[in-house]
Parts: sequence; C-alpha cells; structure tokens
Amino acid sequence: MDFIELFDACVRENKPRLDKYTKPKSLDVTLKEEDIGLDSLDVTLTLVMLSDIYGLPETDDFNIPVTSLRAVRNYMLENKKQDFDSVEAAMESVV
Amino acid sequence: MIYMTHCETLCTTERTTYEDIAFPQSVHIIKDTFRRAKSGLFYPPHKAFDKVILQKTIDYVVDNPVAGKTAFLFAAGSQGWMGTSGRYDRNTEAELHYKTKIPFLTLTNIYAGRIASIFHVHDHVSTDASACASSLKVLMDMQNLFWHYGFDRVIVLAGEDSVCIPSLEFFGDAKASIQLSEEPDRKPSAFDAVNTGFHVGQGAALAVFEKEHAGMSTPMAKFLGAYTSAENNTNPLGQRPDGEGYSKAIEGSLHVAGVRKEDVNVVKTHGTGTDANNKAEKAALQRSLSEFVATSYKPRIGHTLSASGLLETGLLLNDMGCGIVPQILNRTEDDDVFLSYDAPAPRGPFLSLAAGMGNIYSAAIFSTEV
Repeated sequence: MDFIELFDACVRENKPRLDKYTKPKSLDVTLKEEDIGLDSLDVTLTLVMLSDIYGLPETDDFNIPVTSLRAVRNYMLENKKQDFDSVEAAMESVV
Repeated sequence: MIYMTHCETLCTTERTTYEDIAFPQSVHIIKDTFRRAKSGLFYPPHKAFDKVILQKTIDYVVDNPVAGKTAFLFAAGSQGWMGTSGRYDRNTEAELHYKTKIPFLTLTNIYAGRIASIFHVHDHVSTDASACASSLKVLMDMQNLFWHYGFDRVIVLAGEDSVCIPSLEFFGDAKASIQLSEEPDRKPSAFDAVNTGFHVGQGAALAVFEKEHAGMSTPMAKFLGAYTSAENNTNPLGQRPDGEGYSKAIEGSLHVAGVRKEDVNVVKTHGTGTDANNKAEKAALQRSLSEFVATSYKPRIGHTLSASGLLETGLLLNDMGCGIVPQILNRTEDDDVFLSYDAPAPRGPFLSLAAGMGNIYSAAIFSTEV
C-alpha cells in the first residue's frame, strides 16, 4: 500500500478546505504548515486516522514523530497491529 | 441598515427510526455526516457544517472586504453540557452511540476560530451556548457589534450535535420528543390539541449579515432588530403558561427595530409542539401582536436545537420568496392564525422566535422589503 496515497486519502477525509494543501511528492516532506499546508489540527486528525487504520492502541500519550512523512510511516509500520492491501480497503476499515 | 446577504441551510424532512436506544424514536438525520462518528474519528456536526460553509460564500466574504470590522459568531447551543448521563442501560453497539476520540475537537471555541480563519475573520470571534435559542440570541449580539463597535459584517454559524444519544435520552425522558410506541397515533405538530411534540432533527445554518457596501450581493432580507429576554420563573426548564418571556422578547425586538406591532403579520414560531410551549408562545403572540399568521417548521424538519432559529428563518425567507407562509403540519383543527393551510405571504416585517432551556427567549425582526 502506497503510504503517500494513504496519507493523502486521510487528509482529504479530515481537512475541511483543501485549498492550502499540497499532496506530498515524497516521504521526505515535513509535516510543517509551510510545506504541505496542514495546520496542527489537520496533522493530529490525520495521524489519529492513520493510527486507527494500523490498529495502534489508544494511549494517553500521542507521540508519533512528525519530522517527516517517512518518520510517520516508519512509526506506523513498526507499531502496527493490522494492515491492508489497498488504500480503499484501509479507508473502508475506519467506518 | 443591516442586510442578510447569504443564508445556507441544512436539514431533512426524511426520518430514520432507532429502536435500540433507551427511548426508541425516529429522527431527522443526514446519514453521511455520521460516517466514521462511531469510531470517534469524526464529529457529525462538523460534517454538517461543511455542507453549509460553501466555497462561494467564503469567496464572497474574502473577495469583497468591508470597510469596518468583521466578526464570526458560532451559535453552538448546548454542546458544552451534552454528555452521557449513566441513568440508562447503554447499548454501545447502537448505531448512534459514538465516542469522541479527540475531545478538543468538541471545544466550540477552537472550532469557531478555525472556521473564522477560513473566512479571514480576525476582528472578533465568539461562541454562544444559549441552548435552542442560540442562533437567534446571537443576533442581539450581532446588532450590538454593528451599532456600537464599528463592525460592518457578521458571519453567523449555527448548529450542534442534536442527534446523539444524550440528546435523544434527554428529550425522550422529558416526553417532549415523540416515542416510537406513540406513533402513528401522535404526529409532530404545534399549537394543536391532539398532535403534540416533535422529532429531534439534525440541522445547520450559515448566514452573512452586512452593512451596505459597493460589492454587496443582492440581499435576501433586511435585519431590523433582535432582543433576548428571560421571564420570572424559578424553574429554568419550565415555561410560564402566560408566555411572559416570549412577550418580553417580542416587545423588546419591536422596540429596537422601530416597528409597530400592527406591522408584523408573519411569525416563524419556535413551535416545538409541546404542551408548555404551545400555551406560552400562543399567549404571548396573542398579547403582543395584532393580526398575524404563524407557522412552525419543526413538524417538518424536526427540532434542530441551536440551529433552529436561524435555519427556520432561512426556510421561511425561501418560502415567502415563493409567495407562501407554509402550514403547520399535522394540525387537526382548521386554523387561519396558527396555520392549518398554506397562506399567501405579505411583504414587510416578519418575526422569528426561539426559546432555550435556562429561561432564554429570543425574537428577531426581519423584512422581506429590501
């Protein structure tokens, strides 16, 4: 499953307006507002949705690294409890 | 002069039945706004608001700046106190049971700030929690901003999480919402001797009010004045049968609007259809106005709580634009005041009313003559 496509699908589900959003072109992009147009709330919502998709347990701590999209992907893959074959299947899982 | 130039509304006449909750009932619900709510990933009101915050309205506001200041008011109703009561057995598998995984998203002020920034509003942002009166109550705040604080434009967003388990339990327990076991013998109506009560409904509204300026789009209505009152009542959940609170709100709004009671011929009532509201609102209208026709939208779209005042005002403007004041559904008596039939819409001032728990009564006067 292409992580950029999955990330993009999650952003589109969460962000009310997409006019400032730029879809990441690589995993090296940072999650800063000036780079991809997501504010802190957008990033949090997107990460919560990704956590649900990968079955990460809910904890009081919310310490997903956000230095880059690659760091997010690595965290998800290292801690995942489930995975999906396609972005469509992943998105369907978060009903 | 203050004009309403935009009013987007969201509601539905369709109903969905929920049987696996403490007080089984049917509700007016827009199902796709509940997508992913059960997992806590979304909060249905935000999805509903997305449907009234149209890009064309944002573009209009951003591309047509006004000389004075702009405010954003979020009429958020009772969102703050909505929580689980623990009084009833809970079926956590029920479709309408959902958790809020990201609690700060429910903080209305953060949400208001976020939407205000989309409209490039940086002069004033505030939220209001005046229960079901909220979206008319903020119009009194709005007129103060226009008249005393140098504002030239105010954007009002209205709505809350009306169709949720705590809300349905609250109104079910109060015997205000119609229970499944009472259908089809009891239908939603207002000011009727037989049909009483309402279904809860989901809704939202977004309106733009502004002083006249060069780039202003064609107004939908003139806003003339608003007033909010309380009444002498020790029970904050009750309504005096003589309608003192409604009367004070109506007369206050007539005064600030500079309109004679003889000139108001159309009323959009709060019109929940409960026995208490039927008595109070009818008594107040008969005392404080002269000749009028009155309608209620709640039998048609449900009680959308905080959204209802502004949302139903938008619906009435549309209907009056088509030349009618619509009948109150399910009246069992012929009535040419609290309408049992569609009536022709006169031009001129009309009154919108709302009431909220906590002893809150709001009235606003608009005119279709722009």
